[in-house]
Amino acid sequence: MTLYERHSGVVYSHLVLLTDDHGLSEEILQDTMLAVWRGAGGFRGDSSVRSWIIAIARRQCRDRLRRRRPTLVPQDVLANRPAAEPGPEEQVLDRMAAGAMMTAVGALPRHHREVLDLVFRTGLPLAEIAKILEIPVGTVKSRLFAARAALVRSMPEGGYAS
Amino acid sequence: MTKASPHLSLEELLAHADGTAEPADPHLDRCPACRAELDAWRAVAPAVRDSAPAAQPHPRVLRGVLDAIDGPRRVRRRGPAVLSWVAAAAALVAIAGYVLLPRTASAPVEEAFDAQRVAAMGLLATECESLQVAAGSLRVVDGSRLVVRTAGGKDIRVDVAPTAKVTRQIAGTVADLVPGMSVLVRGEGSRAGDTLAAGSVLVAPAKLKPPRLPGGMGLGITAMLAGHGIAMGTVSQIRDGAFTVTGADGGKVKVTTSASTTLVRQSAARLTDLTTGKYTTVVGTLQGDGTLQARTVQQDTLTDGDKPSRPEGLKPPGGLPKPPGMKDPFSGLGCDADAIAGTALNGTPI
Repeated sequence: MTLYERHSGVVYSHLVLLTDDHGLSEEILQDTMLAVWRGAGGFRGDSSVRSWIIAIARRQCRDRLRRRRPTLVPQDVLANRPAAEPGPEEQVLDRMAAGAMMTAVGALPRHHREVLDLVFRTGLPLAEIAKILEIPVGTVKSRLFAARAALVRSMPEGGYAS
Repeated sequence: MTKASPHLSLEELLAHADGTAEPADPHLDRCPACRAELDAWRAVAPAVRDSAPAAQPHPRVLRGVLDAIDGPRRVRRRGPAVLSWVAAAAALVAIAGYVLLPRTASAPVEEAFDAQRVAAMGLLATECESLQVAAGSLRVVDGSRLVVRTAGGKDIRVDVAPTAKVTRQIAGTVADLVPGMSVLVRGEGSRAGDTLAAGSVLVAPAKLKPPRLPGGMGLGITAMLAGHGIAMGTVSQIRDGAFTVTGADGGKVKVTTSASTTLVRQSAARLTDLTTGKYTTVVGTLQGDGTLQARTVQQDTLTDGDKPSRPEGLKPPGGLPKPPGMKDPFSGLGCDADAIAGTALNGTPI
């Protein structure tokens, strides 16, 4: 029961993010935990249990959604890392009201939301997130910066509403 | 950024923004660029978490999983399933019986460098990159510095900031129990696992969670553990020295106590309250100079020496397959320093 208790909340939240559908997320979570149960012997120990389960959940999710919607591969968005001095982006983020920021996160494209979700909700290291997303670590990093930049761009009045 | 750069890496910045990295890196005080980066991520982190509050799946999901496991395959799987549960129960006894298993050589490749350094120092790694564990006998208390000697004879220097959480076990009585407390009870269990004569009761500072199982679904695990002399869970129905412990799977064990039953609980302490020679666990972040910057210090006042005692009657299983994840006793605890320290102290996730 513990493994379920420890991980089901995070996995379920991530599935809701991917599907926007609580019912479907529950179905996929159920399939995932069943697959985890049956495939426990296949756990190779080269990643944490949590990232192993999330990877299974994402495969289950992809299979389900593929049947529903044929194209769901998000286009990878790369962005250069911003200069490491306090630039306009940092200033914008500083000025953002928390509520507006939450709304802005919700409005981000899925591939931005999911990388932010994996970093700040699951607490997994970037290397494990890279495995889950099946992209290089460098892409995880650039996608993170791109997501942050997109947040700033999406803010009303350029984020200076203070 | 590479290690040669004086600036914090993205991973370090994210850990700081997430609140999982402590204490503050002194570099942040003198580098406005890193501070600005950190502020930017700090603005993002709570917004991400709050944008979709953590949702718990409906209980029907777990029921569905259990039904599917128990359902159509029951006849075919009964034999092996029973065997695997015996193995699981034995493995649980091993964990609950104070067996600490350091991470083995099959750690992820990208962690190899740090993992080697951590292992060479006698520290235990956790799945949280920024947290390492020192567990052993407390040798020295000198102001805010400690030295912990591991079972392997390695001395680990520890720095304890004023903000670190320090606790030690203190003796209590069964009368201290109130409904809702989380406890780990050891004693003599009935064969059916419905009653347990308590030898010792440990009151946990946090909700007790039994160790993970193969596949994770602990069907009847409370009764199985009780049969092996262990009850973990929440206290209720306290009457005349007896009480009920409800485990994570909902199983209930009736616990009886006697005049010889001991009770200990974790109590906030100052460093000067700690006793040298006692088993102590420290969870913190390894610094460049080889000291461990402590976030949590816990001392087992009942045990002397460099490793926790194994309760009588509990023996690790021999020749049984280990469930996945068992090699890492801190799996699933993430960056919860208290839970990791408690696990190291008690050999059981708490």
